[in-house]
Amino acid sequence: MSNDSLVILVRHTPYSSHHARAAMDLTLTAAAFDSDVGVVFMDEGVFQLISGQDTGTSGFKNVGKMIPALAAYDVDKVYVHTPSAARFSIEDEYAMDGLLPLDDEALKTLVQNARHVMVY
Amino acid sequence: MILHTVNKYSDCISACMSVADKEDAVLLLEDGVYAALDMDDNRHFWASISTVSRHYVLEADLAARGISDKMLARFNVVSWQDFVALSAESDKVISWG
Repeated sequence: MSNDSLVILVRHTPYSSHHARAAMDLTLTAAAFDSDVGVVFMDEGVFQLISGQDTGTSGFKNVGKMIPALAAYDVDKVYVHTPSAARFSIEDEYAMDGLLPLDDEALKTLVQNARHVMVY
Repeated sequence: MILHTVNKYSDCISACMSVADKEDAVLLLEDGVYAALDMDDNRHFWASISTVSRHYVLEADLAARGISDKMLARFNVVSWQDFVALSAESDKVISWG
């Protein structure tokens, strides 16, 4: 990763709090400023990746539809922490292709080497 | 060296420790200070952690919760000024919560 890299760790479920939306806003903002940005879905955050999310009239924006759209904003480093996905048995239910798998060691390396790390 | 601040008493501490390095420091803030409380769960948790060489806890948040004299020995009590100094000497600060 470059000297100005930003890694965003997403650890919360999609609709329990403002975290998911805030993470998405930051990701898109960073991408708009040509930052070297990577997003990691880990712990309960992996639930954001599940396909078929239907927010209906809940008032929430559908995170499951926003994540596959990230590539259109030049965010091509979207990671999934595979031990987290395995823990919740959702490895076959992702809403998008091209997720980059991260094991514990790779996640640690990514965090240690990034210039900035934000946790949501 | 990374300064990891933790402001909740939840599994975010485990997540933090799993990506931390040996040279890193952890500073407990707000409800995170309960992780410094001398009780079985915390004793076992910190004994199992091989990363992070320095452990700090913010004085004001301990005092507010009335647990200043109930801490695990590995934690050093720091002031707001110390917090600023720690931040300044770190390569980066990661806020967990």
